[in-house]
Amino acid sequence: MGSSKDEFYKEAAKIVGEQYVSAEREDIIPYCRDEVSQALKAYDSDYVVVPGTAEEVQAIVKLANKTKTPLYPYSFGTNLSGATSPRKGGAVVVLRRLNRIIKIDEETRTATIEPGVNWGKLIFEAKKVGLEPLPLGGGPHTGGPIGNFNLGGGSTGAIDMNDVVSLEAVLPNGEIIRTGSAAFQGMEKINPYFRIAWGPNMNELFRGSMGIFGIVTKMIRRLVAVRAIEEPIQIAFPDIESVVGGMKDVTQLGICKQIVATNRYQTAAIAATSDVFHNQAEFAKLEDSLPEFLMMAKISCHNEKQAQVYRELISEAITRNNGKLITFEGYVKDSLNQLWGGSSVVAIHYLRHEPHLMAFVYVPPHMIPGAQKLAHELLAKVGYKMTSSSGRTIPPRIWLAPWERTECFMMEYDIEFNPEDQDSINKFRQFMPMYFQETMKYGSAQASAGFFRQMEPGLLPSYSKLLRDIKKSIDPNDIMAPSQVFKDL
Amino acid sequence: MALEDLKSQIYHCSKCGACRVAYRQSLPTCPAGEKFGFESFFSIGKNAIARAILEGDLEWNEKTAERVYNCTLCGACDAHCYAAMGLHPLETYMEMRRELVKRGFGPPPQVKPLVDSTKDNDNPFMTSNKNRGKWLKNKEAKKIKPGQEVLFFVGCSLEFDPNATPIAKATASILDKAGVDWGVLGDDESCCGFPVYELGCEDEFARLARKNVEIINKLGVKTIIASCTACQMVMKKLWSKYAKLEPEVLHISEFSLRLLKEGKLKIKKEYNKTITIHDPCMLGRYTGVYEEPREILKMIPGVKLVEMERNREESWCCGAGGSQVLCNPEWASETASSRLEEAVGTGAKEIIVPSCPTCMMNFDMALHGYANMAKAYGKVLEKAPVAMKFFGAAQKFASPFMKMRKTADIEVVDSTILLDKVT
Repeated sequence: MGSSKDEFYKEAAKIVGEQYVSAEREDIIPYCRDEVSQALKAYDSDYVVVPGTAEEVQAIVKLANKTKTPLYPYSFGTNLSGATSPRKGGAVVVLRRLNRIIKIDEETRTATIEPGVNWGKLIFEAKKVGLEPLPLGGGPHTGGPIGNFNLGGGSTGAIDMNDVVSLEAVLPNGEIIRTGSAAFQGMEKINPYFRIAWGPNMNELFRGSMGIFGIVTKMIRRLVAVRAIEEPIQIAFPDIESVVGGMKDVTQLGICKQIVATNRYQTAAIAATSDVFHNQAEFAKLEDSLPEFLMMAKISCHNEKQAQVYRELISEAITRNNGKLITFEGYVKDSLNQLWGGSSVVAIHYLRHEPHLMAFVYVPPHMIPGAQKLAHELLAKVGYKMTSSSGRTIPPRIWLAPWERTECFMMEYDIEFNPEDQDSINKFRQFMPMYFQETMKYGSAQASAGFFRQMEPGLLPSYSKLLRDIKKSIDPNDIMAPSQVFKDL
Repeated sequence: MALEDLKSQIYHCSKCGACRVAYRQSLPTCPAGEKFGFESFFSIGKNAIARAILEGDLEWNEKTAERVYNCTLCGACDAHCYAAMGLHPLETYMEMRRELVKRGFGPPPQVKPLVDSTKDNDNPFMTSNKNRGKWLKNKEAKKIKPGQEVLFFVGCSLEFDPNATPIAKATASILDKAGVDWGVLGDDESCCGFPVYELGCEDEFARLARKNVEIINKLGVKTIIASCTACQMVMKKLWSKYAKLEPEVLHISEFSLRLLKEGKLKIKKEYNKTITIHDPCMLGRYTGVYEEPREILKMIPGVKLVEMERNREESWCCGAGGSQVLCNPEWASETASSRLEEAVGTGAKEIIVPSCPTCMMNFDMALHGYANMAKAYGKVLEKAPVAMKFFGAAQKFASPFMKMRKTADIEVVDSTILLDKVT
């Protein structure tokens, strides 16, 4: 346990101000447990420190090196999967005070943001000038683009997900690095808009790094135009094969801004208002009214003429795959419109069910039905049972989306546990490593987010060694997020 | 009820953070979290503290109390969490306050005189209930009589805070203009109990609820009007925990709209101003009254109503709630200043407050300093050395709004007083 008498505390207080550092357990505990980590081991940090500028972050990192204090970065705080757990104590570095949208540049269609900016705020501000980011397939508005990037996420849609143009980070030794053309001295304000300075795209070092290579303090992110017609076309599919086929064909048309699909139980969880969610009979009615799979293909058009052509192309593609256009009324329509409209409160509805692990698979489209079968077999093996608000036993709730361009699709299973029932937690814990190991056999990562320790044995030794060498060379004191990724680093 | 009974709520917090930001604009919604910076002051963190207490990782102590009581109880977290997650975190924090009182860690020392006065006098203003009704021309004549259908439950602030008494007078005037046959409880009225309820003093609250309900039910009135958002909320939602209140309860804005629609009250004058409207937490988020005050304002010729970015369930609290206006006056005025800035940003010249004496008092402090507030709560403050420390040093107090702007940039107007002017 930390104390206000420790050197780290006293020096940190000088850097950020006494009111922004704490060694009180009441302040620390809230940063140490999140949705999934409540089923896992609980960790404690010694301090929480809340810097207000990149320079303060830099000073804290230098102090941590001097005092050998581990640091765990924490941005806006929508943490669901234990990725910010302070596994080796030390200090949680909370970045929410770095909450400025520094610039929305209409010429380059980019936003320069800090880690305390959330999706909702970025969408709200960008839309004022006719732009928008492409968020995580309608993910929670409370999550932050930089936090999502560090955990490995990004946009899911038919447009390139590599939306990060350049970034600024405090390296584990306390130096500031800028990537892309901002890496040229003096260019961070004049031209930070090209993704490469020389050679590799250095932004990618930080994607999914969970903070082990430094703390991202600024990011320039692509935005896209909001056009005269922004139309989410909704399509019903009868089974997994049809929706995958439909999604592949529609994605390959190259005309959609975003594409995402959900299975019946995911759609129900999202579409229900909280009142309906808590009413067993009403919720059962809702489940019954929805298609087995619902796909949304959003078109973004300059005019009706263009939209008409796009609609026809999509209609042809879905008809080939047993898909049918579908519309909704009432609260279902409202909820889905909000969801398809970008990050929103509705996207959080999928968290209402039970705490859950977003278990991913990233494989070419034709492998998706097999991946679903595999997950079901593993669930059966551990005797796993999931119940919806209707009281029915249901299969896992599913998100499906094209990832990057079209090479691979992402399928997310929401594997739940009842936090008050140890038996349910045990089954959940039994399933997790089995699932990671099995999906890894098909070359599927977990989008870089977490779980590296379970996966490292399956990687080529040369790949693993390169990652470890980078970590050791830029963080010789093992300050940044030790044990978060590597077991021993 | 015990914290253990809320386990399911507590364990189902996913840490999504919906409690921290308004869901349309993603602007801040939690005054405590924004002020104190750590998660432990946001709903998300208080929930984690509750869970740690249930699991034996933390104990009830002064540190817990500091985090639980430094909250305006504005309910923004609750509204957003319910919309997103279907949970009601506010129940947990209220239970934590009750538990802190039971264990001797609450209420905060700044407000103990207020609690003592409520026990001794049935009101928090350290005065006798015999002093109620002084604002009436003929107190005895207005005492409710058998057969009268409308009871005006005046509330302690409108009775004893000289800054709020004009709201009581305006309410009476509107009722008279509409020909309503109304009366007051006079000396028989006791505090609705909200000041002690919000501090976690449940026994005292229960006593006041039972006492008021017993007296009111015997009268046979059909409708109770309140021009205080806390009183109306308590009567609508909280008294039923201890005693069933028979008459319907309406905030003055709900009743006035009814009178206007029935043609009993008529708007006779124009009001040529650009105005914006604040949603008091107890009226809006707690009882869902958002549209009635707006409908009234839209009926007034000349009024141009512009909304603040955070409105209705997303409204930013004035900062006074949870007794912060007494416990943390400086913070309360910072929160109010932030709201006034938002109002100025709309281009409005007036911010209309649907009759809430607490919001009015706090906005007044942010606009003009602490003098009016000292008039209202002088006796309470004298008995609370901690609060006096601030008020004693506050002769030159200036809120962030006062430092940045001129008072003339915006005025705060009570909706009932405005309606009285134009009818």
